Amino acid sequence: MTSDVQIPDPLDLERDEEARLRAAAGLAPAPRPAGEYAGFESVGLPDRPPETEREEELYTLAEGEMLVNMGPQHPSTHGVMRLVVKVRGEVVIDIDPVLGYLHRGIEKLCEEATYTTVLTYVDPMDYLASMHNEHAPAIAFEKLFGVRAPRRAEYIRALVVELNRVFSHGLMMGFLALDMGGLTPILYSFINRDEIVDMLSAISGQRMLFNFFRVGGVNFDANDEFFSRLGKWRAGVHRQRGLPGPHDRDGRPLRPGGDLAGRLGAEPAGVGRAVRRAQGASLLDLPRAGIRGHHPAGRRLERALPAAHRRDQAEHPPH
Amino acid sequence: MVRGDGHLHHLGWALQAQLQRGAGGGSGHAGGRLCARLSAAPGGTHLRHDPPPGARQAASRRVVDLRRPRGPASGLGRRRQLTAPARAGALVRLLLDRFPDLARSLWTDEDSVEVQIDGAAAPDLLQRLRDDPELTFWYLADAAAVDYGVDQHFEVVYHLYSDKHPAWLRIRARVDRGDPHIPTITHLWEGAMFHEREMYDMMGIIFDGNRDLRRIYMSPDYRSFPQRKDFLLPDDAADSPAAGVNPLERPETWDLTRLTDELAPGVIGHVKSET
Repeated sequence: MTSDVQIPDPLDLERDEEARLRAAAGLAPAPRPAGEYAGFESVGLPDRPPETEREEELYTLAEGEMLVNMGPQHPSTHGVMRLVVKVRGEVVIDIDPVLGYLHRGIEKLCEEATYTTVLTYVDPMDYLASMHNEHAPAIAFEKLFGVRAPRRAEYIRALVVELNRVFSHGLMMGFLALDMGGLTPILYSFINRDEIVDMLSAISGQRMLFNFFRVGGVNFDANDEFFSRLGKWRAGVHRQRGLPGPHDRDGRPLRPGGDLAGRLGAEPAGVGRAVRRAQGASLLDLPRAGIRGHHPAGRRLERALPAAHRRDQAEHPPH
Repeated sequence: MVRGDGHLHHLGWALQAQLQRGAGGGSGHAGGRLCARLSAAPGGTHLRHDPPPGARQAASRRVVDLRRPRGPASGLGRRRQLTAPARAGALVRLLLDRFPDLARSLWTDEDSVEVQIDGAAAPDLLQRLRDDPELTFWYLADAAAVDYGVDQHFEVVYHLYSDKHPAWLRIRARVDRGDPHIPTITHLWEGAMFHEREMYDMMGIIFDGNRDLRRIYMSPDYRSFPQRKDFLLPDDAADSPAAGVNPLERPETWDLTRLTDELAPGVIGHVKSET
C-alpha cells in the first residue's frame, strides 16, 4: 500500500543530525539503501550501462531522488548547455553539465583557413566581448611573424579591449540578476552597453562582431566621433554608481558568488583570481599580477596613468 | 600640430631639434636633414664633408627606426635551444636548478619558457611545479591537445602560471598515436576534468586514472574523433540521422576521380580512386 512506502524527507534534519553524531562518535555513517541506476531515459538519452565511475555515481538514484533535465532551452542556460540535475526534494545534490550545444567546430574551420580568416572566425567565440577573442590570435601571429604593432595601435587596442571588458561585465551583472528572476537590472546593463557599442561602432564600423584587429595593428584609427562619445560616456558613468545593484526577493543585495553559489575547497581547482575573490578569499592571500598584466602596452599604459588614479587603483585593486 | 608658440609639437624632440637647427650646418651634424646618415653636404657634392664617426654620434640624436622590429618581437618565430645559460632568465635558472635532467628539453624565446617531456612524466612534473615553494605554479590555465599530422604523434600542452616570478610556463607532453595514453592530472587540479574530457572526445587521447572519461561535446554513441587530422566527415554521415544532407558529408563530394581530364584538363594530377 502507499502507506508502506517510505519517502525520506529531503530536509530530514534527524537524519543529518544522526549522520553528524555518528561522525563525531567515530562510527561509520549509516548504510544507505542501495540506489538504482536510472540510466539516461529520464533525461532523454537511450538507456545503457554506466561507462565511468562518476556517471554511475551521478545516475544512481536512491529513494526520494530524481533527475530533472534543465535543458538548453532554459533562460538560465542561455542555449549553451544542458544541466542534468539530481534533486532530493527541492535540494540539488548533484549536477552533470552536458555541453556542446553552441560548439561550432571553430578549431576545425581554422585548420583550413589562412591567418586573416582565422581572425574573423574567432570573433564570435565570446560574442559579448569580441575584441578579446581577436586580440589573442593577433598577438600570437605577431609573435610568430616577428612584427610589432605601432605604439598608437597598441594604445587603441588596450583602450578598445578595456571598453569591451566593461560592457561585457556590465551585461554579466544584468544577466546574473535575470537568471535569478530579477527582470529589471538587465535593462540598465543594456543601456550601458548601448552607449559603449555606439562608440565602438564609430571606431570599427560594427556594432557587435567587430573584426577590428589585424596582425600588426588595428583596422581603423580612432576618430573624433569615438572620442566624443567616449568622453560623454565617461562623464555619465560616475552618475550611474548610485544605482542599486541586484537584490533577491527579500530585498537583500546579492553578491556574486556570495551566499547562493557553491564553495570551492582549499585545493587548487584551476580557477583564477576573480573566482576565488568571489568566494571571499582575501586579496592579500591571493596571488595577483599588476593592474594590467604582462603585456608591454599594458605596462606602459600603467606608467602613463596619472598619480591620483594610481593611488585609487592601489586602494581598490581591480581583479 | 602647431600650438601657439609656433613649434611643431606633433613631432618628437629629436626631429624638432634637427629641423630647427637649420640647413647647411657644416660637417658636425646632419645639417637640418632628418637623417644623419647622408654625407653629401648642400651646395657641392664634390666637397665631401664626412663627419668623424665619433662626432656624428655625439652631435645628433639618432632617429628611431621603426622598420626593424624591436623588443620582444625582435627574435621571435625561431625556437632557439637553450645553449647560453648566462642569458637565461631567472625562471630558467630556477627550473634547471630544480630539474637538472630537463636541461636538454627546455626551450625559450624571449617571453615564454616551455618544457618538452614524455607523457608519462607529466603529472609528476606538474605536481612538483605546483608544490615547490619557489616555483608555485598554482594556476592551470589550459590543457589542450595537438595533432601534428597523420603519421605523427600527439601532444598534450599544459599552460601554467605563477605570479611569484611572474611567469607563464608551457609543458608539452608527447603522446604516441598508436597508443594514446597519458596519466591524468585531475587529482592535482579538479578543473582539468573538462579539459581532459574534451581531449578524449576530440582527439581520442585516453587519460589513465580519470574518473569520468566520457565524451563532452559529441553524443555518447559517436565513433570518431573530430579534431584528428585524419577525420573524414563522410565516415560519420552514415550514422547520423541526417545521413548526408550536407554535401560535405557525402563521399561523392570528396571523390576527386570524377574530375577527369575531360572536364578539367591539367588540373588534377595523379588521382587514383579508392577501390
